[in-house]
Amino acid sequence: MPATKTHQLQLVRTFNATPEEVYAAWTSPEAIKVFFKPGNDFTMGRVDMDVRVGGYYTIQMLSKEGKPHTATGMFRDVVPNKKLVYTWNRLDGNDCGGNSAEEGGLKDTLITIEFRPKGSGTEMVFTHDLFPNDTSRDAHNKGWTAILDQFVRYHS
Amino acid sequence: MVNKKTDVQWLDDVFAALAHPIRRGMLEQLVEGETPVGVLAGRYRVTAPAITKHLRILEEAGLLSRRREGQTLWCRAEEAPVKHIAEWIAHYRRFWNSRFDALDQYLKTNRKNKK
Repeated sequence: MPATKTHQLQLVRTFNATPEEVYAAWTSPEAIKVFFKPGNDFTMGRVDMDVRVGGYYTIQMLSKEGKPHTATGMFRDVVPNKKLVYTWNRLDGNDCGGNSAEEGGLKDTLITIEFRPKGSGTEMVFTHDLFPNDTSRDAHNKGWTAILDQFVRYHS
Repeated sequence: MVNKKTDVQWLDDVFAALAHPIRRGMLEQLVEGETPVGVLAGRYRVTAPAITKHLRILEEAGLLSRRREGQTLWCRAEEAPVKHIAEWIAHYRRFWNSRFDALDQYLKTNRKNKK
């Protein structure tokens, strides 16, 4: 079971490159076409990045059979070389178990990436929040995530 | 039941179920272990129909199940919603970690090419 809050995934990674280089990779379609490729069974399709608050992005990955796996979303916050916040939607439903297109896919989850200088490299703090909407924030303030955490402890 | 709903609907139900202090209180008690409905209800100064309604809402969100044993109706907390969240987290943990590995490779290659 994850040690972080039950409703979000947080990963910290250090790269031997400057924050400028790491940020450039996350915002450049050419770079994304290289590092977003989920294994050799995939090719990359369309990648569009309109990197500004309110701008949209599309990242299309194609399986061997030509089945598109598309991630789309909108930039909520853009601080060059420091921070990116965007929504992450998987509306085609080719996602993890149970998120079929008919079922609505994975909607409006939120990704926050912070780039911090660390020595000559970059520490990247990456957070993927499953419940980013207002309802969940309210619920979070009311303490229900504590209950979910209790559930995890109880059942693990 | 959980699997037939859309993820979004299911989450809405879970949020709605947890939006009431009495239902949160009930769950807090239930995660400690299976509890007779009488004991659960005895903690609150509300009517029996109100208790029934709260239990039904928790049940519909998949957070609670009930079973009868003789005269006693037992309630227990259900793990399905939590398992679903854990699966989601595990899937994306793998996905993002392998993207970061590929990014690391990309950045290294990029640096070499610049030199």
